[in-house]
Amino acid sequence: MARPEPVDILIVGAGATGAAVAWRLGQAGLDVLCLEQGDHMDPAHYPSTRPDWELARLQDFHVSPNIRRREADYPVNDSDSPIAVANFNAVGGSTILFSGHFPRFHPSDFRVRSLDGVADDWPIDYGQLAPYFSLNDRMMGVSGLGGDPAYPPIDGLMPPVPMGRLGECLGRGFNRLGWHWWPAYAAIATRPYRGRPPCINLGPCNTGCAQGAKASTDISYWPEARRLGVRLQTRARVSRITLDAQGKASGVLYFDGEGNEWHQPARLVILACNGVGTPRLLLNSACPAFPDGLANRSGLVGRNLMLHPLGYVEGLFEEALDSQLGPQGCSIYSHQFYETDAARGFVRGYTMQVLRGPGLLETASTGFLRREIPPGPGFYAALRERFGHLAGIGIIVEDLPDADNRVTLDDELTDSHGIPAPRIHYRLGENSRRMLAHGLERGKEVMLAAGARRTATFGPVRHTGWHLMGTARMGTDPASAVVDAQGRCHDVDNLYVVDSSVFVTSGGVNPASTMQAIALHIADGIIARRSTAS
Amino acid sequence: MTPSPQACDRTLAVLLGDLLPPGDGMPALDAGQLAAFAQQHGRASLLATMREILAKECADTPFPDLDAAVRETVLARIRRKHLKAFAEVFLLAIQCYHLDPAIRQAFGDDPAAPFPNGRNVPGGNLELLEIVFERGPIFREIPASLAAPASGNGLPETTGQHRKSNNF
Ligand SMILES: Cc1cc2nc3c(=O)[nH]c(=O)nc-3n(C[C@H](O)[C@H](O)[C@H](O)COP(=O)(O)OP(=O)(O)OC[C@H]3O[C@@H](n4cnc5c(N)ncnc54)[C@H](O)[C@@H]3O)c2cc1C
Ligand code: SF4
Repeated sequence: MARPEPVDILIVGAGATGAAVAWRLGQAGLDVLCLEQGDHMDPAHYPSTRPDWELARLQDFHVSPNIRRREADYPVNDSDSPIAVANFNAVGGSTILFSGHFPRFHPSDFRVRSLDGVADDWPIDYGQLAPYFSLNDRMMGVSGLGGDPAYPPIDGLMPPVPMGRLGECLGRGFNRLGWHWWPAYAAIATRPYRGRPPCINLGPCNTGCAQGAKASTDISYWPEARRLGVRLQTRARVSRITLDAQGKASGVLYFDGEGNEWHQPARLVILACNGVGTPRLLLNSACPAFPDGLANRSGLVGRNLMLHPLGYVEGLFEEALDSQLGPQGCSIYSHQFYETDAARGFVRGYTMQVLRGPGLLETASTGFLRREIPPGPGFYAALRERFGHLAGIGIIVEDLPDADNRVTLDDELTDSHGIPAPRIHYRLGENSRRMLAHGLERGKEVMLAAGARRTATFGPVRHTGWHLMGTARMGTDPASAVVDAQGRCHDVDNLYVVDSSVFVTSGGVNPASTMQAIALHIADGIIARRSTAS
Repeated sequence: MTPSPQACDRTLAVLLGDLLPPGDGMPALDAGQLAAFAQQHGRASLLATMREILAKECADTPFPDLDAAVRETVLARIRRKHLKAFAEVFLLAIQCYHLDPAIRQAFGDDPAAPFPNGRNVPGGNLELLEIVFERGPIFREIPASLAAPASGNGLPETTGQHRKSNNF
């Protein structure tokens, strides 16, 4: 293989944010290369094309890289955390598995210090991101229903995904309590969209969408970025970012698919490896000028990890809800308890995300493990009582930043190329605990108001560390932030971070929409500076 | 003495009959099918462990030769004493069992792969939302005084104010 030619802009990671930033920079005609450790996925081989699709979720499509152990995966030591990291490593990144639940942050999420006296305000706000939210919605293709009282107006939505009997039943429950609920925002096409066919309610969106309705970025942003000339190199695992004599990023070292190590020179480097992969790379790029990790003079690289502890409320209904049908994570949601009310005993708030019921195997397995389905003669009747009759509510709790919650490099564990694995140190804060307890109780109330005859609650659920935020936070002061409002590292001005590592706070919603909007905002900053410089 | 393969199969067959009894329209799970499934998924050792446990717990009379009531007591004891091994074998059995199209159908589940046929899901009654809409906005408006400073990325600034609209 020939020695890599220098590129103008190098992106590391081809997931939710890497794809968005690549497309936007490509649109401006810039010379862009993206290095991705994973491969292209083939939707024709996704589990939903097989009757044993539920088994795949326990194996090579598991959300945990430690269980999945695909070639592209790197191990994560999450033994010091009640919540295990969930991700996917391929073109499309974690959006290959994501549910596509696509709410935005609220305007108040960017002003938490001013409004609620906790954490810090962001150096950007909802108003600045509004055009990027819209642009991102157009690229991803978002369904939902306008007029939602929980948000400023959101236009351009496709019709909502069907809420099904499940959503309607819980919607009635919310109405009895006088609480907010609304059809989910979903990055799922409900009619033909930019060459993508509409959702046909396969259900297992979390093992990849064989239909191509869910906007994983391999089928939304990437085809458009490639058409614009952006180059994407797969099976390229970056180990370090290199610096030149002036202390500027000069490129990266990476291993190709055959295990050969290369230096890829670049004039500007952008990290999009997610809230765990990005600090891992910065910490592993320590050098004499940055002994504690690249761009880490603030000491904050890897710190303030926020994970959105997830509570789960289950309701068992007499009536058949056919709850196993429809896009798993998208039906209806509630923001009744999203904005701060000090009387609740905590600040900030949470989302109640209504989840479809599990498939047949999961219903049987979890029912058995919780001793609700016995082995032996009672097995069938108990399973019949539950399958299609279960409703779930996920409580997505806003996590506040805490410097002790962090990503470090493991002393022993490495990936297949010998690069140190990330290690997660994480505890739930008191505010999160209270919020979680509150959410679980309110979720139970909804279930009962909707007619559930039994409920169960638990949290935090272990394998739900899929929102990875805060580990290279954004801010104007180099002493208290890793990147500035434009995503540029305070310490290395041609090194950028675009993923949710830059989040100052976590909001109480799924973060993909907001992080992609931020990535587009950062891309435009880069383009604007390029045009002023030339 | 190591039990013969036939004895092993008989033990497994009787065990499966107790855990997932056939009847009421439900087929039995064939022991050979489970053994092959376990092999295919690298879990054959789970079955071997369970056979050993059963052999130890039923030292006097082999498990398959006990009558049903005694077997039930033995299995309850094994579940208590060897919780993990018992759970692993049962989970393995239902993983294999749920793949049987007859079982899926019996529970009203589609035996075919979800793709490409898809499923029908009703849209639901959107009129239920009228009352939610009528209660009005619930998000906090941010005063202009709290808007972020200029973004400097070449795009128009906004004021942080938002309109109320009803577009559904
Ligand atoms: C099961 C699941 C369900 C989810 N559901 C939702 C949801 O409904 N809504 C929502 O908003 N969010 C959801 N998420 C989270 C969402 O998918 C992520 O927040 C989002 O994809 C993160 O985007 P990213 O660009 O930061 O990183 P990713 O999408 O994770 O992409 C990072 C990419 O970088 C690559 N990479 C990392 N390190 C290196 C390296 N050293 N060299 C080369 N390449 C590297 C990885 O292989 C990966 O492809 C879910 C996630 C999971 C796992
Ligand atoms: S439910 Fe819809 S979005 Fe989800 S996997 Fe199926 S077709 Fe794709």
